[in-house]
Amino acid sequence: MKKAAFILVLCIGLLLAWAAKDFPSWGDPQSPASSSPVASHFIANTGVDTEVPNMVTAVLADYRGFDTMFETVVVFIAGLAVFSILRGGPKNRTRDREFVVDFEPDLIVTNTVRLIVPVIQIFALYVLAHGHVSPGGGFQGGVAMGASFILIALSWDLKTALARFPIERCFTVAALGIVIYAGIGLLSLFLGGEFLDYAHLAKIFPVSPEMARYHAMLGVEIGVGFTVTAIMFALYASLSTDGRMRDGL
Amino acid sequence: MFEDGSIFNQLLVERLNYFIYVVLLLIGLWAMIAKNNLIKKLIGMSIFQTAIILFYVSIGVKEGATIPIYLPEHDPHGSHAQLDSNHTELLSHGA
Amino acid sequence: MGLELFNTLILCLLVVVAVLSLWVRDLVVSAVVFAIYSFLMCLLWAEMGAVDVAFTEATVGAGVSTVVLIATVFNLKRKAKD
Repeated sequence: MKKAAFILVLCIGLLLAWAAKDFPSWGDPQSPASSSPVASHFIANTGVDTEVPNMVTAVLADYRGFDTMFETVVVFIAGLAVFSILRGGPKNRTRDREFVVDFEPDLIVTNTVRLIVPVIQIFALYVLAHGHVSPGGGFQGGVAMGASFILIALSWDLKTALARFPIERCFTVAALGIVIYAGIGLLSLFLGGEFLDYAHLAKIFPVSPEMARYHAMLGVEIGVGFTVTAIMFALYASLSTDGRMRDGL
Repeated sequence: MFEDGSIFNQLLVERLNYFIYVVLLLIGLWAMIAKNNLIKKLIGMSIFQTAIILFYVSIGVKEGATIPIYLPEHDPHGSHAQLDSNHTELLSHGA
Repeated sequence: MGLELFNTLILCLLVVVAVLSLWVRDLVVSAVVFAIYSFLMCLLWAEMGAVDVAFTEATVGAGVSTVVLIATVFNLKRKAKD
């Protein structure tokens, strides 16, 4: 089996290496990806269309907003699947654990975490809200926010973290994020545009169509941030306790 | 062996980055096929997918380019443009 | 034009770290070495100019996925047979 796998992998490798000589060299400005009309269109027009300096955010949340919406739904479904598969198993299943959790939360660790968790959360909010003009956005900010709750669970225990962010509320918040995203899309649908065509939001808000797209992108990123924060914590809580939500890592 | 135009020179000197992507992809593929442990298979899948994303991103690299964020002086509607219009207004007021 | 020394160094280190994370028997060590892999990948992406991808890799790849992997290994056997 291993020998057959090795030969198969080697054959694929030879084919790919043979194809490599046709690809552009490193940093070639004339490479097909750089000279395509799509790339130059986005470079020339994102600033005019949406006033967003970060082109990646503009493409992610506006031009390809539909894609990002269902990406958020995929994150939500992944969290839901992990939770329900682990929760639905036999109730009194016993596993041999390598580690036994039997300790008091360490004084130095908990006090350090008490100091740095607010800083992490403010940084996460900054990344989320500043995703237009600097690298960042909903996914990154949401993951950083979820990581702060995971840090609480790691340094005290899972019960302390679940007291702050119960697992049922995780899924409520995650669904709320998708509702925010789809709601902004539906609002622009009802105002006469297409789904997720944010420029039509300028009819009810006192801004120009370009600034309407700018601010709708912020709203969409907040929705993504809600979903990702909640799902990251729910994933950790489910996986570290084998779905039982007791005696975590 | 490494003279200009030979296949080794093409692969290991000029196109070293593609060679590395192929090697990473093969490591991931081999781990997915041959390893029995599911965590190892998962790590192999991550290596496989990062190799592919690395390939996609690296053909868009341009020599001497900036990151894809407008500088104020490049942005047609950014702060620099507003400064410019204020400046011309001041100039016209002055005149 | 062509690869710089920094990129070549990171690309070679990537292969070493990828092999190492599949080589070791201890799955916790494997997860931590995989975090190093993600961090090197993040450096490479920042160097290529894909800053958003680099940020995502730093938070998701090197941060949360390591914690989730270790939390999973915690409920399984820690030593792998291959």
